[in-house]
Formats: sequence, C-alpha cells, structure tokens
Amino acid sequence: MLMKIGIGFLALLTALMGTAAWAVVQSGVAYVSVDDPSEGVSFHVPVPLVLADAALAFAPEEDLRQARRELQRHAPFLKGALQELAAVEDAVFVHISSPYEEVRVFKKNGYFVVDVQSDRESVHVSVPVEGVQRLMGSVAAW
Amino acid sequence: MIKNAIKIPFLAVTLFALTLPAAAGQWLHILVEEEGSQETVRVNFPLTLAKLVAPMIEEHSDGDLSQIEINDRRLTVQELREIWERVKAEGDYRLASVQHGENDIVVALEGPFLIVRSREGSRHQVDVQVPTPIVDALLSGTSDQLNISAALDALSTYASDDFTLVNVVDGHDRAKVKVWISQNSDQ
Repeated sequence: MLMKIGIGFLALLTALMGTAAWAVVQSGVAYVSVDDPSEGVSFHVPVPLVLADAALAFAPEEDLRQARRELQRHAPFLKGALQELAAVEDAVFVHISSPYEEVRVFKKNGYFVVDVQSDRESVHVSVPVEGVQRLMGSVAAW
Repeated sequence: MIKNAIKIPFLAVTLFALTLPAAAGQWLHILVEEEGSQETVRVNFPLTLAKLVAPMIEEHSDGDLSQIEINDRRLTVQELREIWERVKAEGDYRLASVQHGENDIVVALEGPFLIVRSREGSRHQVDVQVPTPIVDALLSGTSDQLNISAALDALSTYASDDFTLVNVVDGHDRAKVKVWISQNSDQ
C-alpha cells in the first residue's frame, strides 16, 4: 500500500515538474548577468518568464491598467517591432569596439541579447523575443 | 570619442530609417571607423523595422523634423520645398560648389540623384547620392514636418543590393563613415 502511495506521489511530482519545465521552456528564460569588481557587484540571474506571467496575476489592478494604457498607446509599433524582431534572421544589430570596450546587440536563437565587455565591467542581458511578445500581449490584452 | 561615434550612426539610422525602404530582407548598414583611436561602430538595421519606427519618430520628433540646418542657417520644410521646386525646374544643375580650407565639395542634381561629392585633393572624401524621388517624397504633403512615411514608400522602389548612400573619409584622422543598404544582415 505504502509503495503504491509512494509511486503515485512520485508520478504526481514528476508530472508537476514536467509541467513546470514545459511552461518554462514555452515561455522562455531571460538572463541578466552583471560583473563590476570595482563596485563589488556580481550577479547572474536566470528569470523564467513564466514567473513574470504568474506575477501578473498578483499585480495591483491599477498598475496593470496603467501599463495596459501605455502599451496600447504604442501597440502598433510595439506589436510590429516584436513581430519583426521575432521574424528577422539571427544578426548583429550593433557592434561597437574600441581598445577599452566591446558592445554587441544581437539576436541569436530567438534571444535578443545585449552584451557589454569593458575594462571595468561586464554586462550580459538576454531575453526570449517570443516570450516577451506573449508577456506584452498578456499585459496589453492585444 | 566612442560616444560621439555612436551619435553619428544613431543620427544616421534615424535619418536613413526615415528614407529607407521597408523591403523584406533589406538591411541598412552603417560603418564608422577611426583608425587613430581604433574605434569602430557597426550598425545593421532591418529595413522592415524602419517603417514601423517612422511614425514613432514623427510623433516624438519635437520639432526636429520641421527644419534642417545648412551652414549654420536653419531652413524650414516650407523653405526647402520652395528651393527644391526651383532646383528641379532647372534640370541637371550644379547647386553649389563649396571650397572651405582643404575641402572642395560639389552639390549637384545629376539625373535621378541629388549628389554631394568631393573633388580630387579635398581633405574629406565625400560621396553622397540620394534619389530625387526620395527627396520629393520627403518634402511632400502640407505638414510642416518632413514626410517620413512617404519617403519610405518612395525609396522602397530603389531597394537594390549594395546601394551606397553615403561614403565619407576624413583625410586627417582617417575616419570613415559609410551608409549603405544590402540584402545581407552582416557587413
């Protein structure tokens, strides 16, 4: 009997983890990474967008309405720009290089990436374009 | 210096995004190089985004699209329209020949292009060519602003591969600015 309960529990746990993993994969994961030894700053944070989706459910209604109004005001541009960004091939949009720093803004494998490497700091931000599209769609209700 | 270098391509992106086609697969490229400081800025802009960006620029231009500055003189869009109509009426025409210091630049109307070009020996090597229908479109309408959307539509018919709009080389600093369109996303 105990074994059956254990197996059932494991099956449930596996299903929940699988569902969570599927949701994370579907919504994508944003990464933020900053290293600035001179300021003693160093953090590397993966942010599953599914969490942002979930956070929307708990956001104050007035704040959501405000965000929705702002997004809807620029809806044609934002929707179009995100659609184009999702559709465009992988490419480097901006590349600045000097002896002191290197800045790259590019799209790769569905991610929009900003990468800054300099003598003093290192910043890396990547966000899944389609995940952001979905998130904005949820907020703006378009 | 790199910040100044960024301003140039940003301004150029803004201006040329205004005038470039929303043709599928077309890319705007900007290259700014300074040999002395070993600084390089490369911008590759999908032209399909240009048309989307245009209304935002028009809405938030805050008067920046209502006049241009030439030799420290500000000209309104209405004044530009009048000048342009008079120039076109003359046909192929040398508009101006500017000799200043080591620079010797000619501005002319040549067939279907408005040309800005340096003469041999000029310190700055300049080669700018803008199709005249694009200028027509940019100055069309009755608004007191440059007509970005119309310019975009007009230029879409000129979307050929590797079409160089601007090529400037500063002889002293060996600085180079090049703006062109192509069907490749990389330079």
